[in-house]
Amino acid sequence: MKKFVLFCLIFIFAFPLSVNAVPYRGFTYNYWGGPIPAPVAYVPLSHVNASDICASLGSFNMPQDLHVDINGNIYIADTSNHRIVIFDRHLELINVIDSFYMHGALQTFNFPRGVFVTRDLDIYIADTENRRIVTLDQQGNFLRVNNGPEFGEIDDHFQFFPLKITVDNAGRQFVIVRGVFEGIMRFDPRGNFTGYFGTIQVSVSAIDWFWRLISTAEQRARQQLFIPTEFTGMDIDEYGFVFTTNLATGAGAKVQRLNPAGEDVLHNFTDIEIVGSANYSALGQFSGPSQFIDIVARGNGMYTALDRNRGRLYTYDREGNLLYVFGGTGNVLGMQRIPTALAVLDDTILVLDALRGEITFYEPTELGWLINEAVALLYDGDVTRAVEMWHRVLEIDANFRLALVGVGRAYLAAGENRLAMNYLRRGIDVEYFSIAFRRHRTELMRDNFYLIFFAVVGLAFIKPAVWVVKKVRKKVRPA
Amino acid sequence: MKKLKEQIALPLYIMRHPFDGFYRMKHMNEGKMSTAFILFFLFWISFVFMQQYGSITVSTSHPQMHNSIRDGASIFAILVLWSLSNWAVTSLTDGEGKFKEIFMGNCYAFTPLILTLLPMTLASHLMTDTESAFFFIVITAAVIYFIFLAYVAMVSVQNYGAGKALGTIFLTIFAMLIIVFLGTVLMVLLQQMYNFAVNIYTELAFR
Repeated sequence: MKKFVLFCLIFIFAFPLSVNAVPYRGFTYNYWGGPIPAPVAYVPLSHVNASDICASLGSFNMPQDLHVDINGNIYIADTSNHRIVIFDRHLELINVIDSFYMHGALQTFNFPRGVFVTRDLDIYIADTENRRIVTLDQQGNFLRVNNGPEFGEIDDHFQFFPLKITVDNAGRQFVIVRGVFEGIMRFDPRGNFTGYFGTIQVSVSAIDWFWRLISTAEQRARQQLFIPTEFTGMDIDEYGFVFTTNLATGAGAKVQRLNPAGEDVLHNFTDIEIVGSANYSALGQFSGPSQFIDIVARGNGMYTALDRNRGRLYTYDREGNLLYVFGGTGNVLGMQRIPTALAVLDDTILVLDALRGEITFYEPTELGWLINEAVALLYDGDVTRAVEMWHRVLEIDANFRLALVGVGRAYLAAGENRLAMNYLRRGIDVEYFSIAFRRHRTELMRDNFYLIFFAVVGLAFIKPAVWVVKKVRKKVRPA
Repeated sequence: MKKLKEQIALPLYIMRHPFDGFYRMKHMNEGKMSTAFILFFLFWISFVFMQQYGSITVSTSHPQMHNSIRDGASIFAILVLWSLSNWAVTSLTDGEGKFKEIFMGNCYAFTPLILTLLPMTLASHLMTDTESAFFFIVITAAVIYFIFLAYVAMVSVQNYGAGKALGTIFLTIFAMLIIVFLGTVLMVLLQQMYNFAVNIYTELAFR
């Protein structure tokens, strides 16, 4: 009996240690668009609130934005505390900006919701309720202010409530403004409004269209307008292209990559749309489509989008392949309540939770690191080393389709047609499988040419031979 | 052995001489119900074989989407439903066929599909994606010939003209829809009756 109890105790205490402590499960989509389990690519390392950085900071109060500059310092728009908190990657506090002198007068923030730091380390702050964008230097000294379009430039009712800001290397400012559906507002480096940038398609369902058709002009005037949703998040990549997210529910793209002309140039060579969760239930818990709230350009064409609905982070490569998914909703480490922003610090991903006032740091696992590395190597055109990475990825996750196809195509290029066929069949790449198979077939035919030749000739000679034998027998018998 | 030969002979003869063959099936009593079931079974097997073992150049469907039993049952259900509706329609429009003959005729028409599906599935493993067109051409031709044979079967079994048989096809599809509709209504009604009975029982039990 004692032994049994001991055994039970060992079992109970040993078991939780042996399972992975990550509170979510990873998955990817297979060829048919269905989810298949995958090992997790990122694990939560720690969550950090204001008092972890400095005890006198108190706590973050509904922080809305997060940014990491080129030195790896972290900026938080601590919205309801009306301040900007700056600290470095070792969680050493650098600066807290809650006021500045503008033309000799002391100014404070009023619910600042967006923060961005340029390559020159100028801090742009979307000071939302003060209706202005303030530019400060690292010490918090005033540089510039942008009060939005001149009065009457758009219409008399317009009010400038900037929510998010991004600045390109030439100093052009891209601003998401509350209540503006025409697009992202673009300003030149001196703060002059130069026009709208990017649009979200409006989708009208057949039923809406039908009701609109049969309603009178008076009814129509009282109906809701078909207006696009607002942009929710922005980031700028190394080429000055702007990644954006929005809450479009219909046919419009949820993630866009806008070129300097404001056209969406996001690639997707896969059959699965870039919508985060590709199949979800319409009702019940965890239902509805993904709602992307922020996006971050990861370099090498990769980007990660944050889903507010399920607290998940979806990472895609430049061809639109879903690389990995992690995160979830909940209270434990690694889960989110109301995620509002994300940022990247080297390979670490930072997610800001407004409700808990915490930043979660996610670290890549070996799988995540290998995938990142392989994508980066492919982006640089170093296929040989990328394939080494894909091989190691397949050791961890044998279902990873991108790796199967990558390895298969590499074998095809190396002339290993038989091996290539094997990998390409598992990766369901019909086009390249066919190329590998055609080469393999030609090879087989060439190597066994004599065998095939004599078999065909032999078959062709059977009938005449039989005829000859019969004839000979006939001649022999009478004699 | 001789019996087996007889059973194979008629379907093959029907493929070459459909009108003559179906005449022999009906009027010379050469058609057998056992042969019909064997042909259906072979068709089912070759259909499943094609889905399961076709090369990825001709079939990329999800393996979990296949269910041999369910596929067979649904093919059989459609076959019986078609034969039943056809029988119902033709008995009202001076058809001479019995239900058994209609069912048998349809099963005998499967022969071209049985003969092509299996070899083409094997051949698909020798084809690239562009060459897979041959696979689909042959299968499509077999399906067209199957439809033609089923049509000839109806003409011969019912002793119809070509035009009347064509009209009967549309009437049969209509009859199939009616049967499905009535079946659904009956199911719903029975379910409600069952619920009613259960309700009464619970009311009484908890009094």
